[in-house]
Amino acid sequence: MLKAQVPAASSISINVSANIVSNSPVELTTLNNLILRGNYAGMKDFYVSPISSPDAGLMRAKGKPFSQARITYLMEEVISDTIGTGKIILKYEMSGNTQRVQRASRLIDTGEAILNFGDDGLYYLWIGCHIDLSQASAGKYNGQFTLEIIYI
Amino acid sequence: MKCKLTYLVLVLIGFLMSVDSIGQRINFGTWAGTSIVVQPVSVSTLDFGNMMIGGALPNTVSLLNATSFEIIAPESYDVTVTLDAPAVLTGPGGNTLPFAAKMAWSNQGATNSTLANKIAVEVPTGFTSVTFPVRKFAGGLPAPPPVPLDGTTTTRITTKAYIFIYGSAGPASIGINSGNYTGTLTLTVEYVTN
Repeated sequence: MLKAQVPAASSISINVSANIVSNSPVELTTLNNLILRGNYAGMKDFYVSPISSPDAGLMRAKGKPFSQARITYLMEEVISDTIGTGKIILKYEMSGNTQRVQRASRLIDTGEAILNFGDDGLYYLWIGCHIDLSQASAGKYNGQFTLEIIYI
Repeated sequence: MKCKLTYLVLVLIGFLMSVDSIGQRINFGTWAGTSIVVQPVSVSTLDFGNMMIGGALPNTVSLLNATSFEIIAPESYDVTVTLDAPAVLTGPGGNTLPFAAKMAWSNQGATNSTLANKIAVEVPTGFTSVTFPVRKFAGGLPAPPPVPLDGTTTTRITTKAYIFIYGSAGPASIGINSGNYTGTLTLTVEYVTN
C-alpha cells in the first residue's frame, strides 16, 4: 500500500542586509543662537523649550538625500563663572524636523537619535535647555553645546 | 575433458556478447511519505555590515561565517536545493548595491552545523541549484532504493543535511545614498523528480 503523496518541497526566506556609510561630512550651520535673555536675579531655574520657545537655538544639517545619520549631543554641562565662585547647570534638550517647522519638531530627549534626511537632504534641529541657577553667583558664564552627527 | 573446456568458453563468450542495457529512473520522491523540513540553525539573516561609499572592494561573508540551515528528510532520498537570489540589494531612494550569493552543502552525517561547515562542498559560482542525497552513502556506490511504506514500514528514518549561504555585497559606488540596503533570498528544497 502506498502512502498518500505529501508536499515534496519546502522553502524558507533569508533576509540580506548591508549598511552603506557616506564618506562625505554632514554640513552643520547655526541659524539662530540659543538666547538666554532677561534678568535672572533671585531665580533658581528657568527653561527654554526647543519646541515652543522663540529663544531656542536653531541649527540646520545638510546631508545626502534619503540617507540616515546618528545624532548625539551632550545633555548636561556644568559651567563656572570666570572667577570660579559660582556655577550653573545646563540640561540641554533638542528637537528635530525635516521641515523648518519648530512646533512640529520631535523631541530628542535621550542624547542620541537616528535622523532620516529627506529628498532635499535637510534636517533642522532646535536647542533648548533647563538652567539650574541654584548655585550661581553674579558673573559671566560661557558654555558650549556639543553636537555630533555621523552617517550610519 | 577437452569437450568441457570448450563448453565453458562458449558460455563466457555468450556473457560478453550481451545486448545493450536499458536503464530506468524511478521517482521515489513522489511517494516519500514524509515532508522535507528546512529551518535556520540560528538566524535566517545574512548581514554584510558597514561599508563605505567609494570603497574599492565588496564586503564578503565567508563560508566559515555563513548562515546555516538544516534540512531534515529521509536519508535514502535525493533532494534538489535551489537558491533564488537577487543580483542587487535595494536601499534608500531606490539605489542598488551589487550582491552575489553563494551556497555550499554538507551531507556526510555531521552532528552539528559547525562540524558540517568544515566538510561542506561549495556550489560553483554561477550555479543556483544542486542535487545530492540527504545522507551520502558511505560505500561510495549509490544507496539501495528506499523501502516502500507498506503498512509494516510506516515511517522513514530521517537525517540532517546542512546548507550554508554566504557571498559578497558591494562595492558601494560613489553616488549612491547611505543607509540600509536589503534583499530577500528564497531557499527551496524538494525531492528529486524525473
